[in-house]
Amino acid sequence: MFLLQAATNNVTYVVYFGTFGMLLLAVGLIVFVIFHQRKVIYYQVKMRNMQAEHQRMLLQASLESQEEERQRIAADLHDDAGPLLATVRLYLNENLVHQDQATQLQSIYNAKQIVDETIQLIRNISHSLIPPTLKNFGLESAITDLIHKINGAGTIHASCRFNDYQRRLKLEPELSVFRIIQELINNILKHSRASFLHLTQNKNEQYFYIRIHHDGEGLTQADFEELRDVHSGLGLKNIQGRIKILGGKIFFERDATNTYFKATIELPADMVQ
Amino acid sequence: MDLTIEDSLRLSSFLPVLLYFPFKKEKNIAKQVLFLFYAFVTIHSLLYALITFYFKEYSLIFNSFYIPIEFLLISYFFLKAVQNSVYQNFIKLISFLFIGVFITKSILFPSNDFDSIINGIESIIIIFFSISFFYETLKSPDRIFIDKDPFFWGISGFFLFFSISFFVFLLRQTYWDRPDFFFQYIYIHALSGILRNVICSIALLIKPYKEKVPDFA
Repeated sequence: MFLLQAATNNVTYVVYFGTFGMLLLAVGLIVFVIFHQRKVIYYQVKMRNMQAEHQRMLLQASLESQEEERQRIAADLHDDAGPLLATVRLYLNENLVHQDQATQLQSIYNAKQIVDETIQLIRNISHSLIPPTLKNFGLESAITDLIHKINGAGTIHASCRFNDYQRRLKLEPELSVFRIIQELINNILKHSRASFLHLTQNKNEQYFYIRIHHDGEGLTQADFEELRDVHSGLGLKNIQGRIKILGGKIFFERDATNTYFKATIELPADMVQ
Repeated sequence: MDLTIEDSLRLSSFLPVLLYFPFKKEKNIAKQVLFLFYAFVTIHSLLYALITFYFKEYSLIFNSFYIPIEFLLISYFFLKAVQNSVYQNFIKLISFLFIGVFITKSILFPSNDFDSIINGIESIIIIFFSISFFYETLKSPDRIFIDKDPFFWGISGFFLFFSISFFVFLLRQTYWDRPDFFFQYIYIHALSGILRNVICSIALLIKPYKEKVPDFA
């Protein structure tokens, strides 16, 4: 009788505990899945907001950069071309006809000199918008030209080597790559205190590479990402913006020997003409 | 009292059938399969009641066909729910094996009684399918808004039903004659069935989320 009672109780316990345990496990698993998915949604929304913020910053950097360029051109025209043309106007004013011939010739000569100077000034402004060497002869010539100018200053030894540039990049990507290189070199000159910099170009079936080595104080990828996302400073944002438009990547690394820093631009090979 | 809770279970199984019709135009596969399942459950209940009334001796034989059809319909629901082809093939294989085991057991050990082994195996398989579905859900980037997915609700319903009923199914054949177990079985089975029917009704009520998850890569 006792054994029968014990067996009956055991079955009751098995049913209650077993069922309760299974219920708990099932509910626990469903709740876990729901909360996990909510967490995923939360992180995806957060990521989307971060990306939107990053896009906004890039756009703002691009607009600021354009505005800065416009202001510079406006300042050049106003401060340089404006006074020059005003001076020409003075030389060629209506009283000139009442002057003697020698004075007239002198005034015309002076005016011609100033007009030549103005033409040169406007040409310089135009060249700063798109370097003629780049437009006419391509990236290799433009970079070589830039490297010669840097060497001319004598503070740093600069060199470059294009290993495979028989076929030029298309004009727009070429100008963007040139601007990125200009900005990188400008940063090296301004901040790194390097004694040399060397630029190399390479290409394979998939990618087009530009790499700049220098022995100064450079950036690592983490530094680049941190500085790029701060609100001040346009240079790195512009680099990132241009790289993104080109569909490429940029890597900043310290050499394994801790001697050099290198920045590598990787672009899809289909940008070649 | 026993009749009341069992009647509640039968009545609650009508709910998904009724709820399907207002949303019929959606042509959602999950809702269609759920409707099919509940239509089967409803027809079976009605026929079982009639057979029990007029031909009581055949009622258990008639009832024995319930398990394989129920299992095949639930497996089909899982087959449509999972996206991975490996899982799909696995579900097909397991379903085939289960039906094989059912037929073999019915031929070798014919019995008109409730079969705890077959019900236990069915419960384990459905629990395993459910866990596989949840695992796939956690891994899949496309399945984000699961609370808007009828498959999720349907599978949660089946998962809870078979988890809660697992022990009473296993013990029913042995302890059915004991009054205390009889009441436990009736209550646990009916409550888990009502819970399943309510959750599956939610699956039929919700509007599926169709928008693709944006690519953040």
